Amino acid sequence: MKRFTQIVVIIFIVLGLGSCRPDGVDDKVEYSDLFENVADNIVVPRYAQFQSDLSALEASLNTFDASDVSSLISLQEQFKAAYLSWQSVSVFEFGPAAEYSALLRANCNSFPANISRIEENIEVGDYNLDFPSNYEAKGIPAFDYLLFHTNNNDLLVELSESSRIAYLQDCLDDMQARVDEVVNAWDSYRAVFVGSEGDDQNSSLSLLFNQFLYDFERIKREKLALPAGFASNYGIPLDADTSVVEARFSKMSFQLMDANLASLENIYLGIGNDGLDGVGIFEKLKEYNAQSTVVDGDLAIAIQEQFVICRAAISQFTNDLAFEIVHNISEVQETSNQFQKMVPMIKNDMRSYLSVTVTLTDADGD
Amino acid sequence: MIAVLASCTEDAPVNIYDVPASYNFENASYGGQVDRLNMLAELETYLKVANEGGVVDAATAKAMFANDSYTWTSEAFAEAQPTEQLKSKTFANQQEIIEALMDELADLSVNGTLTTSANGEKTYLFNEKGFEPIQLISKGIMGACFYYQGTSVYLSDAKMGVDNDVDALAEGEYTDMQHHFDESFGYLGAPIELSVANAEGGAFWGKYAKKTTNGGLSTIDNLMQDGFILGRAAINNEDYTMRDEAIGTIRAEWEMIPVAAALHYLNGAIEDVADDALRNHQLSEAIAFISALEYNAEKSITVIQIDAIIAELGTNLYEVTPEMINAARNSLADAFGITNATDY
Repeated sequence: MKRFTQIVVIIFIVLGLGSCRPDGVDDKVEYSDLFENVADNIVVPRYAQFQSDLSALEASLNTFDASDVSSLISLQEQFKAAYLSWQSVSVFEFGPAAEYSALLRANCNSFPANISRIEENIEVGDYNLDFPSNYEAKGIPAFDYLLFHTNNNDLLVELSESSRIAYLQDCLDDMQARVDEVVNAWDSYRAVFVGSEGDDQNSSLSLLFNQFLYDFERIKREKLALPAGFASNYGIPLDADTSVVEARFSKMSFQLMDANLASLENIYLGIGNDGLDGVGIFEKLKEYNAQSTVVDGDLAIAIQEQFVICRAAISQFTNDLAFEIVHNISEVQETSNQFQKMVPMIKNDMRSYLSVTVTLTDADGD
Repeated sequence: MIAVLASCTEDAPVNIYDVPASYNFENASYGGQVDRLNMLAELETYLKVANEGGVVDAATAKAMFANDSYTWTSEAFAEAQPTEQLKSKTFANQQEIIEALMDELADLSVNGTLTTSANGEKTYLFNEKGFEPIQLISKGIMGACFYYQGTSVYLSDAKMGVDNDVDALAEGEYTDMQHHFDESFGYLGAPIELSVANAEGGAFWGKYAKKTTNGGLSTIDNLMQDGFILGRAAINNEDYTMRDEAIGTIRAEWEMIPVAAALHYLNGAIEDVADDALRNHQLSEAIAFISALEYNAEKSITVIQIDAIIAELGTNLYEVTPEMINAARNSLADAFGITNATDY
């Protein structure tokens, strides 16, 4: 009979009919320690790191010498550092980053890049990067294209054109202005975030959960399933398309995916940028004694382990994602399956214990 | 049934009459409005062939608008051709504008390029500034014809200051006042029992009415029960104080439908801001609904405010930013005291 009751509860959760915690769950778990740890040891230092990586990229760009290949290589290395760093802040698209003047996700990392639009902007020289039609022609993906799309010798010839360097500088200025705004705004938003109570749609709990889920679903779908041909649109399967991978030209797709997963894993575990383990979602699920419906047992442990499994699945690949999609699709499928397995753990189980509702949905499909 | 107590003076005995729960008045008559709704539906269907790459003929569209030598083919007109027209009932200065949009659409349908959404599902035809003539035409007619006739013309003093000798009516007859009031209701395009709980089944304004429920408004119930149904019952009982109160309610509540629809599309445009097709389509819808607000005789927003909100979206929808859309949304919401604009 007890088992029957649990099944009924689970059905309600799956159908989204109830956001109440399962029977017997402690309702008195508080979140202020989680919010404090996330704000002070995760959000703020990560943004500071991204800001500083963009500054380093700016310095490389300002001293770029098109007659010196080592100058290009150093610019490329700095780009890679910034792109990896971006993965650690993409999840924070609430509060300051979600202001219409910032919208970091759309403005910094809309991929795949629209190559013809980038070339057209550079050629015409008259563009407004604020227009949404330029989202895919700027940000980090524009660097990915302009700094990696051909061999270094040809790139040096191209980049001797001042219009290309000027375009990169404009793209960088655009990102820096937005990131600076977000960093400054966190000074005052920190108190709002930490002091938030309850679980309604505008609560910190709901914002953090929904962006955590959304960022994970973007890894699963946009970064992997879509280019690999595992995604569908309203039930219609989409063909594989290796041109839509993240970091198509610098071939960093797997590294970025891993950095993105590590970003979420550390938020989940409460591990700060300094490596110290504080209060994360893991600790809250432990307080609830949360149980998984996907695998047997403790939900906190199950999600922790699934992060490890997902990252291990990525680490087995020796080539870039586009290559593996063409030559090793079965391993890519297996990786995708592991990503997929995480979704109900977050979207159903974690959501139900946190007692929040899903307010964001990624593109329809799988 | 709800009984209404209407007192003429404090000392006079109260008149009691019944107010039904739906607009099921036995002598209600608004067949001309139903025809016009069906005419716009057929016109819209014709215009939308342009979204599939078909050519639209301006002369045909204009013949439909003016019901001039055009043979209607939709099921609604299987028995008989309609005799009314949309054009003559459209606010005077908008007639030419709508015909000019038809010319523009016809030209674009030959020389323009379709824009498809990123998900490949929606295809629209925009002019070079991103405006969608099809939406500006069909929503334009909803505003400058249906909404104008429904909120301003048929509830005006001129249309209400007419014969209402209900005692002289024979079976199936109606007074001029009853008929005028029915005509206003007809332009709403609502089923007689439309309510918040049962918001489906309407056409045009009657269909968009349910957008108000997204924001938690009780517009539909107020508009139907305290507006049209109460007003018609008051007229049936020659209670003109109550009728005028109901007219005020109709004008105030109907206004919330274009407001809610515009907020809905502005929200959608922000969500889909990077998608030229979805953004421009939704902005065109929003602009048309905001423009419609002008045609209410007792609007609670000024023409200057309406123009200012539209101006916040700029003159080129390919160059609109999320901040601009948000600014327009905030201005519109502020003008109507709405604090939960993103819910619509």
